[in-house]
Amino acid sequence: MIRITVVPGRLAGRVASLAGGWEVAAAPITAGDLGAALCASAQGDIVLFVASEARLPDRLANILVPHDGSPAPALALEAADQLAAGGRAEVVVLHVPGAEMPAEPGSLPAPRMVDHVAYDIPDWREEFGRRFFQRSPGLLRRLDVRVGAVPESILDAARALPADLIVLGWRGVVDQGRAVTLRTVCDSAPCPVLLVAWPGAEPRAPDVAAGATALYP
Amino acid sequence: MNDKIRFPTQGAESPAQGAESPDAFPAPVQDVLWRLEAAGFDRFRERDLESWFAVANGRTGTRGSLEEGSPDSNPATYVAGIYGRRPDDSSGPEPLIGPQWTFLDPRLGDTEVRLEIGEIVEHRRVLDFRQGILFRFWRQRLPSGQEITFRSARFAALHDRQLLVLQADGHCDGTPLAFGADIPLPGGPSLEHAAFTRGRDQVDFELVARKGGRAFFSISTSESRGSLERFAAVARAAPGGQPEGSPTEALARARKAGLTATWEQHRQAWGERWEASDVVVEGDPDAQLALRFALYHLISVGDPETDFASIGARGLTGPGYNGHVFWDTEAFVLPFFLHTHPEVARQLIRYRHRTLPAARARARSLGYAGALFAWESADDGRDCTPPFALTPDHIVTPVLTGREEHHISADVAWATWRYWETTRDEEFLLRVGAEILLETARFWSSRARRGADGCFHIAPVIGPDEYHEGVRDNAYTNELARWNLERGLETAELLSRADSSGWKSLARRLKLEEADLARWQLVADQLTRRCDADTKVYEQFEDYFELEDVNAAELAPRPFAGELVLGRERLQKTQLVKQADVLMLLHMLPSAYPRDVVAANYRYYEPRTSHGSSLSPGVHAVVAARLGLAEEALGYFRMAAAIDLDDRMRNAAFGIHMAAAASLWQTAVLGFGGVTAEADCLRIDPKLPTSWTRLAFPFWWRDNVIRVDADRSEVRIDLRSPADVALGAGSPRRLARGRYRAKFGNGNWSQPEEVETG
Repeated sequence: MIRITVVPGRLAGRVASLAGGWEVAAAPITAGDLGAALCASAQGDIVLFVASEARLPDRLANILVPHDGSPAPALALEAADQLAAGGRAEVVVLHVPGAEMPAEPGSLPAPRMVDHVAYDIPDWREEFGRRFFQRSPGLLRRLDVRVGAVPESILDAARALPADLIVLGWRGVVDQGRAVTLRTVCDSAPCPVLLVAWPGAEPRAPDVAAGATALYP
Repeated sequence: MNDKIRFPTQGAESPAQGAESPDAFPAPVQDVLWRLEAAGFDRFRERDLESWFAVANGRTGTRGSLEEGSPDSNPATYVAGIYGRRPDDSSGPEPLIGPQWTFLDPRLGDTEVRLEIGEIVEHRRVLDFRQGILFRFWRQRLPSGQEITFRSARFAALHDRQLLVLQADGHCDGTPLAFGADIPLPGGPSLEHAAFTRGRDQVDFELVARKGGRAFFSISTSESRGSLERFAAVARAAPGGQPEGSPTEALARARKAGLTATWEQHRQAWGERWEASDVVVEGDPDAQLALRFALYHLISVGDPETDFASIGARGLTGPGYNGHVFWDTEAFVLPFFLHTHPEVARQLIRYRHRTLPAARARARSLGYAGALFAWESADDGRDCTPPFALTPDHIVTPVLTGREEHHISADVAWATWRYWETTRDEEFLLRVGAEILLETARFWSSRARRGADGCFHIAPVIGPDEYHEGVRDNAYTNELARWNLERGLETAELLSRADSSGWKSLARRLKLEEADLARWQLVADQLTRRCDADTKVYEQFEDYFELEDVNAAELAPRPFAGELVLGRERLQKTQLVKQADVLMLLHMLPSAYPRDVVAANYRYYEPRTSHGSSLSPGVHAVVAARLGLAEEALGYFRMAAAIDLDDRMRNAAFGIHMAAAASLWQTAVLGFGGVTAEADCLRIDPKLPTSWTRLAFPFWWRDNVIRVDADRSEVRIDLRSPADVALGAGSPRRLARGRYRAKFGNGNWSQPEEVETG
């Protein structure tokens, strides 16, 4: 059972129906108050945030999960999987290759070298699935890749699908200048955004010993 | 669970150290620069490790999977040159997967022993480069609280390439583990038939690849009181052909010799290979380790005995690129073998010679003459490049490399000529090499078309920089085509002088006439060359300079995949280069272009290159090193080393990139070692990066082994037989067999002084 905190008011009932068996609790957060939503999320609650312009879906058909290719968003993917399993939705995992590479061991962002698009990309997709999708076989899942700035690409993908829900994993750090992608997406998302902070907020340095790290200039 | 992967510089010592283990179980070397170690178990990285830890001998390659398997494993044993096709032939030839000959089912009584059951106390895998053996040490606390110990050692025998060997033992407080002996029958859509027969002493597998060859495995296991010895023997047969050797006989040979003797012979064979190829780097242990890792995988994939198969882009370490053979083999991998184990280079060229009928048919089908080798080749030399690909953003796009990337024919010719220059093997040139050189020259003669400007042009074409398709007059292609035409003419002249009757017979068989040779000369003379006379920069192709100029480093941290940063459409409108293209040309023909031309082009193209190909960093490293930019070269060397070894590349699960591995050898020997095999002499001009205090390596050249041992102020040269040698910018000198040394000063090397002769 995942406990979900939602902004109160007109959304609570709708979210409860979307979330299926989830325990839904209304929290004292004013609708559209992103700061309060982030604080609640950073403290470990799973928070549903709805921007003022967001469309409220009648059912969940497409759930969009942005994924940076690190093991960290596992909780977000798990939450999306639970929602999808309840409503027979498709989980669309979106990867936007960025300039920053996740530092966690086991990460698998899009390859930095593509010798042959016909082989390297399917191989990467297969390996991505084996690393991150393994826990819930049988679910309807798709891995999409978009080129461009990360927040805009997420919003573009959400509009194009169209997504009924974005499940956004984040590091839970609300300091000035952090969570820029999350703030941008939440502000302009065309659908509700489920915020899932993962424990261990800061990325760890790779566990491969210094000898290997030093191989790279 | 211990989930850390640890490199050997940090590695704990193994329970039994050194080759002389007290209980006759082999043990890994102690020197951490001769081994790669992974401690713990990381489900995310397991498939990377399986590629790293593959054991191979040019005939078979076995991924370093756990003997008992795991949900995160992708175990496979590949048989070189055996490919099958799916029933609908949707994905072209795929490598056949043999039986999982390393499979064990360890049990303590009725209790399964597996990493995921209970708690890992210790788990380490050690790949011993020097001995060519993969070791595993494992202690597991079972849910019952009992603790088991297990160890294994496996290798693909280098002295007898039919053989594979596994040794294991396991106990729990004196109670032996049982391992079971049932090896699963392999399957898969490209396998037409698989069967096994259980005999008294062995199990025999017969595998028939769909529309492909056959593989035969015979496996014999003996198990006693927790100790297991297993031999597997392999044979293969081309489609419609007879098996190469008998696995049963190979198995009998191995059993007769026994495990200890087999291990010793294997170790000796590896010792010989290292003697002929090891590159010693002092002052930079990471570089040393990366080189040994690369050389281990290169040696593992060479087969000097047969032309049955060539070397796929991922060797025999993983399923990447479907085991297909690209120009990587000739332009990157072959030079390593040419100067360390020329018999392997010879077989690689013979493989291409064997596929000449398919290359001729391919040229014909496109309206050309001569031989156009397959861009992607498998067992029969027919092109198996996939016609379409799904881009990262799910768009079906045609793959044009198979249709337009024709420089493969010149690359094969280049390798053939390099073999001839290095060995001076006239018989090989007459019987094998000439036909390749002449038929590829003939291809270029027909491929180039005269334009309205009166010059010959090649279009549409793709050069090594695959970001730009359908271009006209790619510099790499044109220059190498011209070189190919000239070598075709030189071959004709050489043979007509050396063996007139042999030449006449060959020319008759190939239907070559004087008019053909005249045309080759005409095309070579008038093939378009776009080199700015003032800047000395070659334009990569017609109108390349008109494209949007970009600075790659400002777009994203390099290396990066241009498709994933700019998108495919914009990519083609910029000057962003995927990999060395003009620089590749200057790299491959180092004596043909003056230093100022190389420098000018390096300065122009390097900032515009994304290095979005594993083939790029190594070439930049060699070119930079030759230009004396040693620190910049070292940066590229590290980038190339990181392709498979660094966690951030995430590119190793589908196999080791053999070309990138070979480019490390090229950087060390041809770049920092400064060795250039010129027509009349071997030029040596070491330029070491600051952190490298010593660089030493052997170099095979014209039946001679030249040992170079350099630091930043002195170079020592050991000649096995007389040779013409030039140091730095000096003139060639005939040196007798013996040892020499030279000092570096005033920007150049002194004349070599004799230290010891004879």
